[in-house]
Amino acid sequence: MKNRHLFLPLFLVLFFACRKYPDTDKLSTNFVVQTSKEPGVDFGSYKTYYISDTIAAITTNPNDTLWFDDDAKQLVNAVKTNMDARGYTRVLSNHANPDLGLGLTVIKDLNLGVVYPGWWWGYWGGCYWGYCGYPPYYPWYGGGFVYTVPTGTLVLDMIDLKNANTSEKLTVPWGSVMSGGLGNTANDIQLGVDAINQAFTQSPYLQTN
Amino acid sequence: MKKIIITSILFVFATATMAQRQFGAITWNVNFPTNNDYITKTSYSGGRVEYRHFLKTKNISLGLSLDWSTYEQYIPRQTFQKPDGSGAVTGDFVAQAYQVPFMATLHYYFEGGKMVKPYVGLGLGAQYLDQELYYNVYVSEEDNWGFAARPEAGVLIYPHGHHGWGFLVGAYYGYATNKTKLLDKNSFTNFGLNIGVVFGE
Repeated sequence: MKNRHLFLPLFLVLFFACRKYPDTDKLSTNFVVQTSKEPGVDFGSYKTYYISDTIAAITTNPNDTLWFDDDAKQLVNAVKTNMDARGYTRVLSNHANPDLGLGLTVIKDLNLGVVYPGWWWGYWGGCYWGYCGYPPYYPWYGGGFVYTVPTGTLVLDMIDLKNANTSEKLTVPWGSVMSGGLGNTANDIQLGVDAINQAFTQSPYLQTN
Repeated sequence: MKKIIITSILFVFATATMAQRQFGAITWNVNFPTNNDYITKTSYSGGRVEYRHFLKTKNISLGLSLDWSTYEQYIPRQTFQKPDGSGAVTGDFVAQAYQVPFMATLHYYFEGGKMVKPYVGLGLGAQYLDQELYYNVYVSEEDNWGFAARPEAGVLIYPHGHHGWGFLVGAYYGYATNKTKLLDKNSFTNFGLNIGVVFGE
């Protein structure tokens, strides 16, 4: 009878040992690429786009809001290459009435909270893309795969400027959240470029015709 | 959660030692996920502790059981399309699910002779399910509770007759209503085998 009590501590050890941290050795450093689109949008109705050569950086340093070195250009160029390949025409200024505005953002050195419907990047306050007072609108948020936007994340948003005046909103009909370790390794800019390419690859509906 | 588990274990062991006509069991459980699209690999990291108390009819027992099991699987890089076409995700992942059903049980025993006692049973209760998806350097987590039901069958083997200890070999099917938002699923099911020791009659 007494031996029975030996099983309790043994059992407790087994119980908590069974919940182990998984073996993540096999995990690659490739970005996890999510894309979302607004249902029913005809991406062929847009013809032109504008993208800035700088990347908005959201970091813990309030002065560090733009990123414009060669690394940033590589990422921006990856977006341009893909957009051009899908038949969209780039205009050189956001005052040239582009149909679409593309915004590339990198989250560094901090973790943003859960993404809820109506959530908006902080740096887009006030007037954006020449439109003042229009509320931002993400048609799909709430249905995403991943609910947090951690450090090292690259975000690409496509904003509908063509219909902004009629809808009185800056609708984001397509967007991609690319989760990786941007800023962690030497070759991660290439990984970022690969991620942008993948975002377009898995979104074949982004076409002018 | 840990407090509930520890209290339950203590309760099971304390009551199992009090009198006859009842027994406690500890088993090693092997689980096969049956309706999970991304975890298909068998789990060998599982167990159960349970307590059964016989009613006056002698061939029926009421009891409590607590299981735990960990499923783990590497998913190579691929693209998952959302079922409604509203998006896609590409990546490689390590998926882990930690399953803890806590149940009240009812068992019926057949006459099997001095050394063997076959049984069939049903467990009803609640199941905690914690699912984690590791990717790159991140993890996404989803945990929830669901209603759980588990039909089972097995046999108690007493090598020395009904004298205090024996073995248990069983099989079961677990159904639970835990949701997986990620995959738009409303249940988690598994088939399982368990083998272990019993203390008491």
